[in-house]
Amino acid sequence: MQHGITHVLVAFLALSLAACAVEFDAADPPPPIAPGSTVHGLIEWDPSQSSTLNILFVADTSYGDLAVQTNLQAFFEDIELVIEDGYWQNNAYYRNLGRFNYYYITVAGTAAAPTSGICPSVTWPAEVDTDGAFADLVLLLHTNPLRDCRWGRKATSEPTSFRTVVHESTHALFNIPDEYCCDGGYYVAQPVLYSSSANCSGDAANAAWRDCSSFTANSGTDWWRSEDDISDIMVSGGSVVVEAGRADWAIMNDVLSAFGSTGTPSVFAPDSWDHNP
Amino acid sequence: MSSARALAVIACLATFAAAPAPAAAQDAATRPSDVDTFEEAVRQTRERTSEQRPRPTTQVAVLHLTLDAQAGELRGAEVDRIEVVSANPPKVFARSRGSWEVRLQGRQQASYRIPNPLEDVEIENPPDARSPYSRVELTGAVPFELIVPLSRDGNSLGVERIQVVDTDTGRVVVDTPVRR
Repeated sequence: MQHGITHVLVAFLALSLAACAVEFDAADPPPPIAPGSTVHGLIEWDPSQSSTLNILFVADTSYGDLAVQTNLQAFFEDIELVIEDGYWQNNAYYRNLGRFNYYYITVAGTAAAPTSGICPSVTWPAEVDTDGAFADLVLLLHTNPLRDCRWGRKATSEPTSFRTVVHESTHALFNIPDEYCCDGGYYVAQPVLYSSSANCSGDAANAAWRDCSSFTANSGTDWWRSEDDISDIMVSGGSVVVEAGRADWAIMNDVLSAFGSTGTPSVFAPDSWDHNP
Repeated sequence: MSSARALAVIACLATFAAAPAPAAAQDAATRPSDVDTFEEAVRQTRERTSEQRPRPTTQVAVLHLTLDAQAGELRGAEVDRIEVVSANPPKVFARSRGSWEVRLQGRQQASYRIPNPLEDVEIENPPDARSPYSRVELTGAVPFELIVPLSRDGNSLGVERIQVVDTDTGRVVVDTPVRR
């Protein structure tokens, strides 16, 4: 009898610990955010979505049927990687983590090798433009190696391409242009990028770090960066996430402060930082 | 949920009840002061993600466009269809930057900027490439979904037409009525 009670207590303790697991738990997934929606919340600081930027994850079909617990858990664990080792490895995102809600959608998409052009051949679930119309960024995670692309607010990535995720997200969430030479996407976005030397050197907004330097894009157009050749998240590639430059932060802060208070990063590029030292 | 699991969850919630209160109204949220870890973020928001709410009362228009491109330059654009769906608005007004302007015309005028979508496609490069990424120069029919809020600050703008203008060229890319 006593042996039986011990078993029951151990089982209850195990269940309690499982229920207390503070990770995304496919055994007890969140409900849809609204009746009939295919979108579910993972981290929602603001369920009204009014004071947050909202990021929606889509699974590639290679994860399998997300109604199967083990498949959903694998997807959840990859999302955790992206958030913790991607976004939160950038001090500007980490210091403002309460300004980002994260969601997933139960309808899968596909990302495969290109059938034409150089970007992956992607099938997006139609629901990302209906149930997920609120999302500022839609990120399709896949595990097969591909040269990933971003089209506006939609991007594909392997779950371990952390720097690519943060670079492309920063484009989509904040409308910050590329800063590398010479074949990126460029447009005037002060105080990051200018169309003339005079505009760059005359902008009081970049006075704190001004070191204007120009490059000529492949199109033949000249552009001026206010941060010279500092290697920030909009400049460099690789696997490890790097920081935002002061100019990048000026735009990020401009966007985020529309929703309320913000936290100024404690580290800017080219300095590095690790939120899990 | 089994009764044993339900009991376990109750026990877990009881433990949480004794823990520091979750960051309350998130209007002041940046990094909630007691959140240092991923686990803490999940724990503090679990109550919210476990609650369903009504569909939003605000609407957005989803414009399914086909852009006709030649070496990254716009030759034409067609509106394939427009859907009006119930959704909270994406934060297009806050991040307004770029060379295309989306103009909302109706009871209240509003506008915001977006990057030219033909210049806003980027690909990862191999590690030995000169630059880490490259803009993708598109040619042919390019599908593009433009999501346009029909409200601002929770209030309907009474949008009747949506116009998209390339401010570099002055060209009207799209000019379409919105029917609900």
